[in-house]
Amino acid sequence: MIPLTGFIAPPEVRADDIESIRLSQATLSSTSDNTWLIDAGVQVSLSAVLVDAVKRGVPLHFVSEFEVLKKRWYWFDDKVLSKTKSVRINYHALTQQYRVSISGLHQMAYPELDEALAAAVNLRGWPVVGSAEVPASAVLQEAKRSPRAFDVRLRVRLDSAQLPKPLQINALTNQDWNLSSDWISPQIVSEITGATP
Amino acid sequence: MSLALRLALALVFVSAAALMLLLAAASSSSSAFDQFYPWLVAANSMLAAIMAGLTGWVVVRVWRRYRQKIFGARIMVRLALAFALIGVIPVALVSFISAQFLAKTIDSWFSQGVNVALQSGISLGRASLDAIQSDAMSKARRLAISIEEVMPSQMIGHIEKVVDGREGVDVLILSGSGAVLASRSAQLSTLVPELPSKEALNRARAARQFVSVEPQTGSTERTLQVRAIAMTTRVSSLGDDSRFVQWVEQIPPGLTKNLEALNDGVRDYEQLALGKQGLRKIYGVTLLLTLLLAFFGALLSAVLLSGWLAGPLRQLERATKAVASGDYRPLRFDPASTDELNVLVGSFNEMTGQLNEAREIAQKSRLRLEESNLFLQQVLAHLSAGVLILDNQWRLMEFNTSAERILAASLLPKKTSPLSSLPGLGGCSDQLIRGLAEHPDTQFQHEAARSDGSVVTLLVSGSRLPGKAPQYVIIFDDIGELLSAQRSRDFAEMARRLAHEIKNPLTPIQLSAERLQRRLLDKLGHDDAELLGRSTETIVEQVAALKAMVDEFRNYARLPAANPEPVNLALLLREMQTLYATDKRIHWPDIGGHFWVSVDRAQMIQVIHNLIQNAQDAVGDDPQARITLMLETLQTPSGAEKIRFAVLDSGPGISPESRARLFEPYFTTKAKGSGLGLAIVKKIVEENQGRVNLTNRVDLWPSHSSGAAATVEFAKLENASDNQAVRSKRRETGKAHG
Repeated sequence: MIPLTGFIAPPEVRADDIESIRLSQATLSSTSDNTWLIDAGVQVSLSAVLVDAVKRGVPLHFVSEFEVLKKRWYWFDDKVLSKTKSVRINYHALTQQYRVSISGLHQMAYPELDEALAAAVNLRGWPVVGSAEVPASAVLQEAKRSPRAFDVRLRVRLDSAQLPKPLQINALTNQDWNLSSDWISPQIVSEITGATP
Repeated sequence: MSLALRLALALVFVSAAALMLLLAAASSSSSAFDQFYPWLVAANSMLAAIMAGLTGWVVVRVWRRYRQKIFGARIMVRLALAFALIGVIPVALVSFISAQFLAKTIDSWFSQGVNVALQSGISLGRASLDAIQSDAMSKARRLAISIEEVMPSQMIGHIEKVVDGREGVDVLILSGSGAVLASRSAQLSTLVPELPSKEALNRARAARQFVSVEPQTGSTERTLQVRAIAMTTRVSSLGDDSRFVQWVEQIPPGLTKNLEALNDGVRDYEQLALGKQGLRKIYGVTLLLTLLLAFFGALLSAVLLSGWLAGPLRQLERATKAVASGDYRPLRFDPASTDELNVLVGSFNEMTGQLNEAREIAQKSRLRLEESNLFLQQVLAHLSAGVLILDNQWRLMEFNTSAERILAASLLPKKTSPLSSLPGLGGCSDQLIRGLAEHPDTQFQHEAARSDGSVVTLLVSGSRLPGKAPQYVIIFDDIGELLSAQRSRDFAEMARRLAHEIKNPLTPIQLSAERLQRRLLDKLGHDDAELLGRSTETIVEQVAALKAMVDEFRNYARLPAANPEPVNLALLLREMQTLYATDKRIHWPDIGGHFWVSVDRAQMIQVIHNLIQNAQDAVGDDPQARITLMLETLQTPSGAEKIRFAVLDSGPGISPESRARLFEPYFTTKAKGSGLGLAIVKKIVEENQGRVNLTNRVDLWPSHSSGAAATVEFAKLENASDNQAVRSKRRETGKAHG
């Protein structure tokens, strides 16, 4: 009647680590004007399935998530600060370009997927907390002072919820579509002078 | 069915409906529920599992009932099967057709023709873009060549010449180091057009030209522009003088729109093709979940509906069982409803009400019957006459205590035995049967021999009760006492008359005889005189004896009324002992104490005299004989105390034949005696509220030897004290003096 094997079969765990997002050398630093910046190296490699999907015009949404959790021994940790950045990559078939739009505004065209990916997941100087956000800044200050009481963490993942619906079904069962880096804790470094744009 | 189950089912149904709607909405092309789709699928799956569990449970429950043959389960299963078929078959049919439809439809979307058409469209679009690009490139190149030798100040003229009035063209001329030499902007608001990106310049430097179609920067609308960069290198004295000419031209909006539409279409198609399996899964899963929910819903509804329909049946069945065990409570009845089952319940209630009424009436009449039976039994028990009830086969059915007393036998073991085997009455059974065969009533006297050998005179009357199987009632009474009382009364009357008639002539006879003796004694000879003297003596003697006898008769007949007073029998006996001092055979009781009774003192003395006399007569002249007087206190079964005075002798005793008539006047077994002694005793004792009995000693004391025992019993005076004794004594002395 209806093939349900994909739905019922347990998600297979892929042994070869072809697709991945890796974060490295993450730092969190504050500038003199109280802007907090994330700096991290991001390496993304997509599986053939995902590359094929992109080339067929499926938009991929990469979400960078930054969270500060206040540890609580008696209950789940309290999420005191949460910032996200969403980047979309889609392929323009006519012009054969990869277009990257950050938070739905800035649109850039790249002829190659790797360039587009590099531009999309770029975490160089991500201003997670602006100078105007006083409470958030205070939280980060506190986290900096007593790092044991807080869990500051960062990750980048492919937002499968933003995929077209038919592919979400795939994402539910297929590891190819679940792409995420581990949570890493950025190193909180002392002030650096001069704001990075 | 429990309330919790009902609530759970209602909840499951409502949530199933809600989730199904949401899932259907999410499955359709695009809606606000898109992002919750996985959750909805999961929730629906869970719900389906819950419903499967519930359905399984309900079905197992019904099946168990069916197996246990609980009333109503069979019809419930039948109804449930019917409902389930009605519900499940259409659902299965629709689902099957939908699935077929779905597979065909999805496949039909991705036909080869559409694919080719879209690819052709893409090629077409690319070709047109290529044309625009090459046009822009040629323009840029022309401009670059034309300005090779021109000073920056005169460049604008060349630019305008090349642009030639085309709209939406931005031109920028840069030096090799990136400095702007000249520019032309399409919009008046922007003085300097957008600079090329570093990558673009690098590429242009590498390939001496660069062209690309890109989204227009700074515009949120989907506009495209073509960017062409041409590089010229002029070798001069000043060294390499490179220049970049950038030609940015907006692609006409109409074309852009079409191109973008094509692009979107191709993208959507590609995505659909990629998500074909996923799409199938979505529709399949939605359909499957719908099918499952509908299936389980139909099953559950079928079972519940059948339970609902069979419920009143079960209620009626329970009520019927309750009625069978005597519970007549009415069922819950809704008078407003015209439901047939409700009407049935009403009829049932009416029926049980009538049953209850009938039962109560029966109970009442039974109680009344029992009461009347009890009353009859009481009457029978207190009847002094003996009553026997016999069935049509002349077998004993009922009897009263008087019957047992009169017959001196226990009748309980004789129940259902025939009349002829009963003690006492067995001898007259033929007479009774014969008598009652002819007439409904019969009456006769019967001398019945009791089991102890004594004979009682019975007046037996039998009645035949009417009826199909006639019953017989036999009433009999011991008329021996009645007869002896009759005899006593007759005798007393006769004695009184005789005494009167006889006594009158006696004195003249005696006087005449004495006068004859006195007158003739001297005149007669010795022999004659002796004869006369002897005769006269005899006459006088016999007259005196006759007189004494007549006196005795008269005394019996005219016994004065008793004048009872408290008397201590022990003292009385001691007083009387001296009178019998000569007869050493009499043993007097050597007891003191309180033996107070209420009797006529003088009469009591006579009783004692008569009884001692009787004993002396019984033993005759035997010097070895022994007469024992006893005085004792007895405890009656009812708790009262009695005084018994007994005279025991060692004589021959009493024969059974004579016992019944011992106390009748003029009945005697002795050669001499008037036969009145015991009759007087009986009369006196009975007038003094006592009881007299004359029997053989062995009857009272089985260890004793032969001989008779006369006993007199009186009620003991409980509250007679010494003072009373003194008082009575004083009165005695007073009487004596008076």
